[in-house]
Amino acid sequence: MKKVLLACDGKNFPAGSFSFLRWMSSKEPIFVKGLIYTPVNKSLLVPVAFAASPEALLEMKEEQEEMLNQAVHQFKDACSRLQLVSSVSTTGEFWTPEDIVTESRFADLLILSEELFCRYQEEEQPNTYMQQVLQHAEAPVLLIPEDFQKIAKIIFAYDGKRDSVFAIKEFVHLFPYFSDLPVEIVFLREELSDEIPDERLLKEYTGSHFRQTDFEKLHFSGRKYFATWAAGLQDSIIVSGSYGRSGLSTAMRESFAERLIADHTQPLFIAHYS
Amino acid sequence: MKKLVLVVDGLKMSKPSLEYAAYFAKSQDMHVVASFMKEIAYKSEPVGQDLWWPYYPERKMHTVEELDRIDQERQKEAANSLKQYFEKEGVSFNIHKDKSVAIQALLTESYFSDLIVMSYDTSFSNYDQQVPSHFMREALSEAGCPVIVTPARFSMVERFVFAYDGSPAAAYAIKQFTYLFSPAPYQDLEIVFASPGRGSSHLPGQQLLKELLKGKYKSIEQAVLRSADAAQELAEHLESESRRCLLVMGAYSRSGLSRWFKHSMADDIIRNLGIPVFIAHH
Repeated sequence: MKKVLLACDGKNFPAGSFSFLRWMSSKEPIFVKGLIYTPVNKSLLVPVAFAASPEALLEMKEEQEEMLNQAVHQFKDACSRLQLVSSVSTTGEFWTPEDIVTESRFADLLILSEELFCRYQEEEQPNTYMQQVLQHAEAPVLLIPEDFQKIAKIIFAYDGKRDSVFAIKEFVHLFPYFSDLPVEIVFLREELSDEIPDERLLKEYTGSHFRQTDFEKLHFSGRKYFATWAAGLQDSIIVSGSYGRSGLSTAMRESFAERLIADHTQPLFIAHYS
Repeated sequence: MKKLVLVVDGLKMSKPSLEYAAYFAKSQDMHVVASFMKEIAYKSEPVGQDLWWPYYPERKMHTVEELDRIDQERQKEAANSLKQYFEKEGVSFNIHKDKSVAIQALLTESYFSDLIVMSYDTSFSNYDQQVPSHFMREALSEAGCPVIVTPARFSMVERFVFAYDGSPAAAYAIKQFTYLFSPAPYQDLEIVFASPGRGSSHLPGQQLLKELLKGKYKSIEQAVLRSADAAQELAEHLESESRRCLLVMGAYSRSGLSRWFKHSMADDIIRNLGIPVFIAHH
C-alpha cells in the first residue's frame, strides 16, 4: 500500500487529483493523506495590522475555520466515495512549505493540483509556493491537471543527466503496474548530434521494466518547444527530473517543466536527486 | 523486472556475492546484470615484485604480457563459471564485459539500475587490502542506486533491520527498500532507533513513519537502544540477534549530522558482523 499525500488549500478542491486517485486505487490499494491548509487573505490582513480591530480578525478567523471544516468534510467525503483509506492533517493559517517537506519525507508520492495549488496567492503557475515544494519535497511530486482522465502513454524526458534517470527509476518503482503501457523516451538537448548518451544502458533498464519503448530525439530546441510538442499528446504522463536545487540555472532560463505546468495540459511527474 | 547489477572481479570472484545475487533475483523477481570490471594496473599478481625476487627465489615471475594473457584466461573462466551457476539456478541474467575504469563503470551502471550487489572485499587493486577499500567507499557514497554489500559467507535473510534515526536519509533508505523488497513469510522486520539519552521510547516522526509503512508490512518490531554510542550499541544489538539479519541504512557519507552513519559504523559492520548491508543515500 502506497502512502499518497494530497496537498490543497481549503478553498480550491482539486477534483482532477481525485480522478487520478480513483484511477490509481483501481490498480493497487492506497492510503491517502490530505494536507489541507487555510488560505490567508492578505487584503484582510492589512487593515488588521494597522488598526487592531478584533472584529475583523475574529470574523476572518471564523470564516477560515468554516472554510477549513468544509474542505476537510469535502475531502473525507470524496475519499469515502472512492472507498479509500484516508486521514487528514490541517494546520492553521501559518503554514509553510516546510510542513509539506517533512510530510513528504514519510510518503511515497505527493500530489498537487497543477492549476489550483495556492492559487489564492498567485494565479500564475508554477507560483512561488509550488516552486518551493517542487524543489524541496523529499518524495516525487505528481502534478495533476483538473481535467485529468486517464493515462495511456508514458513520456520520459531524458537529457542524459543523472536527474532524469533518477526520475525514471522513481516512476518505475512507484507504478510497477505501468509495464504494459507504451513508453516514449524523448531526448532533449540543444545540439545536433544524433547520439543519445548511455543509450544502451538506458535501453537495458527500460527494457527490463516495460514491454514497448520508443526513442525519439527532438532536433528542435527542446527546452523551448517541448511543451508545445507535448501538448499534442493525448492521455500521456510526462516524467521529468528537472527542478533540481540549482536555483541559479532555473532562474536563468525557464525550464520546460515550468512551461508544462503553466500550460497544465498533462500530468507531470517530477523527482530529483538531491 | 527490477534490474540488479552484480559487481564482478573476474580475477577474484566472490562466490557468496553470486549466491546472494541469485537469491535476491529469485525471491524478488530481479534480472541480474553481471558486470565484469577492470582496472589497468590491477592484475592477478602484483606487478613490480621482481625487485623482491632475490628474497623469494621459489616464486615464478611473469612478465606483464604473460600476466595479461593469464588474467584474460581467468576472466574467461570466471565468466563461464558464473554463467553455469546462474543457468543452474534459473536466474535471468546477462553479462557486461571489460568495464573499465572500475569506479567509473560502476557509477554509470548504478544510474541505470535498481540495485547493486557487491562483495565486502571488492577493491580492484593489488595493494588496497583494507575493508572497505577505497573503491567501495567511493561506490557507497556516490552510487546512484542502493547498494548491498555482501559478507564472506552466504546465508538466507531471516530478518530485515532498519537502522533509523528520523533523518531524511533514513526515511529515504526505508522507502527505497520497500520498492525493491517484499519480504517472504519467513522473514520479519525490525526498526532500531538509538536514543542517546533517557528520552521517550518513541521513534522520531513515529506517527508519520507508521502511516508510511501502513499496509506495506504486516508487523514490524521496534527496538529503542539507549546509549551514547549509537554505533556500538547497534553492532551489539545485531550480534545478539538469533536470526540472520540484513541491515538497511541511510546515507553513507553525505550527512555528517546523522548519528548513525559515521563512516566508522558502516565500516565496522561490513568488516566484522558478516551480514549483508543495504545502503541507500539521497
